[in-house]
Amino acid sequence: MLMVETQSAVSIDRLSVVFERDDGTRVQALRDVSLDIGEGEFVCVLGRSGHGKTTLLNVVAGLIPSYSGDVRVLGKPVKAPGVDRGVIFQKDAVFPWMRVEDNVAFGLRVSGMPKPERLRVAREHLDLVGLRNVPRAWPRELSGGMRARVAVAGVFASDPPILLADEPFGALDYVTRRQLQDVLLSLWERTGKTIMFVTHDVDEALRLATRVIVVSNGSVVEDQAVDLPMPRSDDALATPRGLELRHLLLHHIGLE
Amino acid sequence: MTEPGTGAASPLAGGAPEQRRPAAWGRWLAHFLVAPSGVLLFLAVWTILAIELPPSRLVSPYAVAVDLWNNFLRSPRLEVFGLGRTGYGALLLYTTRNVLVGLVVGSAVGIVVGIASARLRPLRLIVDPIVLVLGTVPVLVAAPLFLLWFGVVPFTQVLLVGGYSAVMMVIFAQRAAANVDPVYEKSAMARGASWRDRLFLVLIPGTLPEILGGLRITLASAWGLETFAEILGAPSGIGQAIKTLTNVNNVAGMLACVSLVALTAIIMDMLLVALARWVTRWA
Amino acid sequence: MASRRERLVSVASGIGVFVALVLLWELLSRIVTATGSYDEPLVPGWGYLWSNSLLRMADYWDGSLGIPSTVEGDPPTYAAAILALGKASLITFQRVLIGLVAGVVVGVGLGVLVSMSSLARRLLAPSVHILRMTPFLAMIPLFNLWFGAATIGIILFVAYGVGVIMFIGAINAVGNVPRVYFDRAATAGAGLATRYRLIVMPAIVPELRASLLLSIGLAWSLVVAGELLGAQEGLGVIVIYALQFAYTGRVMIIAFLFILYAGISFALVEAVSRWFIRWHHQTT
Ligand SMILES: Nc1ncnc2c1ncn2[C@@H]1O[C@H](COP(=O)(O)OP(=O)(O)OP(=O)(O)O)[C@@H](O)[C@H]1O
Ligand SMILES: [Mg+2]
Repeated sequence: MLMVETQSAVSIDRLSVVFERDDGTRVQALRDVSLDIGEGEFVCVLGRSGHGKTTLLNVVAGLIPSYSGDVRVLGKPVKAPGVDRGVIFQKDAVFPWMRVEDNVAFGLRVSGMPKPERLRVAREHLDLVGLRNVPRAWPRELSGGMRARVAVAGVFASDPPILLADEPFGALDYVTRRQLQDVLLSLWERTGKTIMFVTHDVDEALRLATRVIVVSNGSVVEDQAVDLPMPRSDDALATPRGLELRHLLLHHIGLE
Repeated sequence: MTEPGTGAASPLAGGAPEQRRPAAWGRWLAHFLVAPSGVLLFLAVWTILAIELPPSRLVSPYAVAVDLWNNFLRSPRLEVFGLGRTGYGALLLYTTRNVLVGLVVGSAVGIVVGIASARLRPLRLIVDPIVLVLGTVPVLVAAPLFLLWFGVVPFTQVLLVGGYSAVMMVIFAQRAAANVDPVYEKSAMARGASWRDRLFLVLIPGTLPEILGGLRITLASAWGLETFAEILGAPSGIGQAIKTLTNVNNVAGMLACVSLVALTAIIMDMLLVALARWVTRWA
Repeated sequence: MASRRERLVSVASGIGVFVALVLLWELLSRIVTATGSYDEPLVPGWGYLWSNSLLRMADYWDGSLGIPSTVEGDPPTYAAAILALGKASLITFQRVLIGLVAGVVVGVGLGVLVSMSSLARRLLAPSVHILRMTPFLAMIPLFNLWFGAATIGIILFVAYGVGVIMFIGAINAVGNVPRVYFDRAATAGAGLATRYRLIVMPAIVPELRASLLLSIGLAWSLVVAGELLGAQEGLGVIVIYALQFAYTGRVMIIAFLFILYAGISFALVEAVSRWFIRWHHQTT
């Protein structure tokens, strides 16, 4: 492995998850997954629909307590959600009953920060994602892309050391998605957080990640460092090394 | 492996649409244990209250069942108080007949007017203001008036139930018709369907699930309306029994009659649910 | 969305429909001239309603405030009639209001509480279904027996009916809150109390509002029914007196008042509560 690790942010050892459906059939969503993510890494979890990406992320987030195996975050076993892990969900989770700035400030409010201060922080982060003008809007008045920005601003405002993102840009158009990828990258570079980012898009993974994990049928089938310099322009991804990585990943998710 | 649905991660049992249901064996347990114990809980609380309270206020479910059994076919008590040779059973039959006649006639009118007004704007302009007023208003203020106009006859109660059903079903049918995606009708029209095909092949089947849901709500309220109209004045019916038994402070009898109506309402509701499930099995 | 013109048309036709109904009634009163007992026309025209039925409401004035009562033999006055109606309305209104508020607070409170545990919810489900399916209106005599036929009995009756509806509404509303909101709150470090305060409470408001609007019609129905069966004062009691002498006109006037009050309170609550769901995507 490429990284010289000081401490692992997330360490997963022989993780398995079995779901039981209502009709009694069982699904093995994850099978014997072992994984170590160092501090400051930007890891993309790549895989096709229904192959266990969300399940993996949710276990780390503490949202699925009934797993078998050993999962630790910053050395502590995961039993429940915690403020050391911020999550951006696959579904739109912006609270419709809170104004945009209150949504961004939600984590700070929960942690007990006084109102003027947390609103100041929230506005700073709205600035960073390019939503300076709509702090008092209701979420229903925003577009899908703007709501995705609110979600990004929200987790960064709470400033957790580890960020878990589940296809946060999955529903967006190409241009918006590219813009938000840049926003995310710049925030990552500023803050040095550990990021675990789920996606089914090979190009997105190549643009963002320092390392790509490919999940197939509940198992990790590939663990690949992406040794391309940042920031990665389209041209950088079209170099022989970029294309090679792209082919490799496409191969592992079942194409080519 | 524990089941995901009941794990500690769902902080609110009700808050997880996709994970709320317990696993298969859990549901089995739910079906065969939790529901009956829920009924038992209801009866237990009732019994405890009955023990605490004097019998002139509340009697136990057992005493109510006994009263029901003794008076179902023939109730000498009701005879003494002028209801003739009758029992709870015959009175319940009167009540049930009125509810069903009123419901069927009233909702038939309501559904037709509702669907028609959803598609014919002139009709809608006439129907909407009336429904707007009648839909938010206590329909039973009409009960005394009907009594004055038509007298102490079954028609008085049937009219009340029928009028109520009609108003409610206009509202439900209109809403249901509005919720049928216009694309279905357009595609039917594009394939050369006449207005009659559109009505019978698209609009009616498309609105049926919602209409049946509305019918269920309407039926549930109809029982109360009918019973109340009977208490106010009727030649027969379980409401008359309740009134008579109230006058002589017979708690067991009152509870027996109310329970009887409730039981009938629950059974009818179950039948309607079964019917709805069968009719809308495609949904 | 309806255009301005369309809205104008529907308002105009609404007024037209009501004018037509008023005229139709007058016509009917001219055709059907039958009278009931005590010489009261069965279909009283508007003139009769105004000059006799409304005026005769003075019979129910007790003579305080220096406005004489007809009991002492004084002729009926509109002042006394209005005062009699006003006083009865206030009594009835107070019952609706207290019953409604109590029912909403207790029903929603218990509903949210029960929704915390899936076992409690499933265990209580049969009881709730039984209570829901037991016709409220058939239970008035029981409430009279338990709590008396006076104000407190009627208030409790209204509160009970509204409470059951709101309880069910609250449980369903909590069940319909998307899970992802709880997950997000949990990952942001919110405890159970915070989750209830910041997620559940606001998220269930739109559905609760629908239940509340339903409850208003119900509350008025229950109060009418409660007052018709044995209250000592209030609007319904005037109906009881009028029924004894087959005074159709007076019954109609009270019925109009109930319809008016129920309509106004519905519109008022609908408009005011709209503010609470201004964040919601369909603010209608
Ligand atoms: N709560 C659940 N109950 C039963 N089965 C589940 C549950 N959640 C997920 N699964 C199953 O587990 C498998 C993995 O699901 P998961 O949500 O992790 O997929 P995913 O990789 O995130 O897919 P997508 O890209 O579509 O989001 C699927 O087969 C799914 O059907
Ligand atoms: Mg997923």
